[in-house]
Amino acid sequence: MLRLIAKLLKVLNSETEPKQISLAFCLSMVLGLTPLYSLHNILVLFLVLFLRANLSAFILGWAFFSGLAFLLDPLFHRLGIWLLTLTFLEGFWTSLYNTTLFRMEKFYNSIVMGSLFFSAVLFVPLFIGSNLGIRRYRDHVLTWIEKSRVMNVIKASKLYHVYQTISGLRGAS
Amino acid sequence: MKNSIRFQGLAAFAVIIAIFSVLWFFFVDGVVKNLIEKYGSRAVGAKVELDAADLTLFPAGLRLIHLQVTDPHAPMKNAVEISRISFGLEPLELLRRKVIIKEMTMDGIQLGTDRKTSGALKKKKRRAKAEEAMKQGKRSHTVAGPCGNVNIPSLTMPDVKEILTKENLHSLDLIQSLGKDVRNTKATWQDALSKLPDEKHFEKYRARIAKLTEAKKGGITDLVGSASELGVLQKDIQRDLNNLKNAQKSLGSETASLRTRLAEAKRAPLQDVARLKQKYSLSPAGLKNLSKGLLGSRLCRLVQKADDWYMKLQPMIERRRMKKGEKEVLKPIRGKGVNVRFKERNPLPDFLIRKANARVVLSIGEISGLLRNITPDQDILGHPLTYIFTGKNLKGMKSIDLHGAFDRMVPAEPKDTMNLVLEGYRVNDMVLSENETFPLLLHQALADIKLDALRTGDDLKATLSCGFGSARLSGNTSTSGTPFKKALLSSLSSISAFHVQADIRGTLQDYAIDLSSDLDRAFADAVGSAVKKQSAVFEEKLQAAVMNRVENPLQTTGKNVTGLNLINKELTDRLNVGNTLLGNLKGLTKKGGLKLPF
Repeated sequence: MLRLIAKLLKVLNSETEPKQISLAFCLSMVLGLTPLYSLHNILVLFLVLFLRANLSAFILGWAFFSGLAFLLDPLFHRLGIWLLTLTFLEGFWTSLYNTTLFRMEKFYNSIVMGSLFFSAVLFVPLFIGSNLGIRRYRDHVLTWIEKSRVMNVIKASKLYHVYQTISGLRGAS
Repeated sequence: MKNSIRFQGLAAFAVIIAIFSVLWFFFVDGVVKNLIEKYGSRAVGAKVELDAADLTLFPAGLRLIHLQVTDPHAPMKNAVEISRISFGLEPLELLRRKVIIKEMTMDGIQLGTDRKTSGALKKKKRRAKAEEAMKQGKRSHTVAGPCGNVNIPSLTMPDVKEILTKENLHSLDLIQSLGKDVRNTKATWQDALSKLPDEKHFEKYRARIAKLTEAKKGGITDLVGSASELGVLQKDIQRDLNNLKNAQKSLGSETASLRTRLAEAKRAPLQDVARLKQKYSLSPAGLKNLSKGLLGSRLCRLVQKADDWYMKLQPMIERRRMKKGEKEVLKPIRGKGVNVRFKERNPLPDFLIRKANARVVLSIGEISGLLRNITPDQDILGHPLTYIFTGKNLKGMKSIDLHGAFDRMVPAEPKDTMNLVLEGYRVNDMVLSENETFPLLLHQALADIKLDALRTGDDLKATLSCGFGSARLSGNTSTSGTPFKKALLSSLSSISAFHVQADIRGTLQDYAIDLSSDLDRAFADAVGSAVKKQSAVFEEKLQAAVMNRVENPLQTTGKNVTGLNLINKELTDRLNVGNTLLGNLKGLTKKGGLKLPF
């Protein structure tokens, strides 16, 4: 756990572009919240590797969102059923249902639909939000923290020791 | 833009996909094998084992080698063992998550083969408990029984003493209750007698009469007083006489009622004898259902086993569904969430075997079968599952023809049919009855068996008709025993042909089996006289024992009823005395003794 938190801090404090970290979070949200063996997750994997998303942030985000998915599954189920049974969308779903690619995607499953819709809706807001958050963190919080007494205490703690160890290892490699 | 793209990522992606493909290639067969074993075992309730599975992509197909399905009721036996199953899959439909098998071939199907190791599943404690509870529930249904409660009658002379220790004699209860009432009545009347006018009381009247007679000889003043006293005396005597008469009348009616009950109590022992005789003695009428008692339990077991397998087949031919608004929602076998089905341009079920050829290898030879439209979504396909199995010139059987259908095209109105015709089936050493009293063995026979079964909705209707010719039956027991057991055994040798018919009627949850056979007539003819003789001896013994039990209480009660006559006599005596006194008083006025002067 300490290592994970340390890794997160390391990512946030690194020179990595904020948008790379944000993109990684957003893609990890899709992978984590939707059932793993879904067709769209191949696309997610491709985008993570191709779009220079931060891999550490992606893996951390995946672990976090997978845990969250367990709690949100009932909500996804209800959301999915609601969407799939909307009368005005029936024609649209029916045409997708008759397409091999979308049938492989299994969009007609309540949890696939619910979780995919949920993560798609949150994708852009999360991207913008986390982008802003990381920038502000680096500009204000990080500087302030560096100078604060609390940080001095943290620097003396085990957590900081772990963080430094990882940083050292990274630096060495 | 260049900063945003990681071209090495493409290579990494290709490597990951390649790794997955290689893993799939190497391990998919094992995964398929494990999946079949896991879900098969769960569905059957006993081990399902597979030696190997071979999945091919070009052409898409699957080959299963040596599939063994354990009989859940006998873990050391396989219900089905299949040497090889092979089928091709429609690849485009597979991408659409539909398993459509155009043609399947099942080779070397064997039934009831022995297993080297037990095929019982190791159950978790909680699951085992739940299953046991379910079985208990089911057991209570089956014990009360689809065959009813017809027991085989006892073929030995029942022990009278034993019967009387466990049976309650109604006659004895009746006599004891009557005896108590008679004693109470007697005590009540003895008490009443002491309160009614008796000899002492009448003596007082005599004294008063004597006094009046004296007054007659006295003067006019005495005469006037005596006239008034005479009237009072007459009234007093008349009142006492009325009391005595009323009491005697009441006693008479009570005694009459007790006498009626006594007569009933005298008849009651014979009624007890008749009741017990009917219950314990074998009568020719009791032999009417002997075949049901003998053959019923075996048939019941067969029907219940068929019922179990039929229930296990249900998930294969019918899927659980629920409706959400206008949309049909399917409960997936595994996984989270539910699948919503939309209208398809070319509707096809999720799983379908269009045609399956089966070759069943039995000890009597090979039977070939053809099954069509195996799917849990018949309503989508629009065709029922049909099956036909035929075999000719088999070892010990002329021919077999089994055909039928499972129709779930309208899921709410299931309609299943099964027709079986076995011709010239040579029976060898078949145990017809394992009953301890009269085990029955069919050494040999040529049987023609016909079964017609129909399930419509919840209603079940089936008729099994078996004709046995060239039959040789034996009791499979020693010839010692009661005369009619001997007679029954000897009658078996004369039976060379018989017919058994079973009618199953009711619902799937609650059905009854009615079994009839012309064996009953043969048995009744053979043992009729022996039964009558034994029945007479039993009745004689039973009557003696019952009479012995009730004799003393009956006599005592009878005496007590007679004892009430003494009370009646006493009342009569008192009435006579009273009447005499009243007569004397009237004599006193009529014969000029006491005349008033005005």
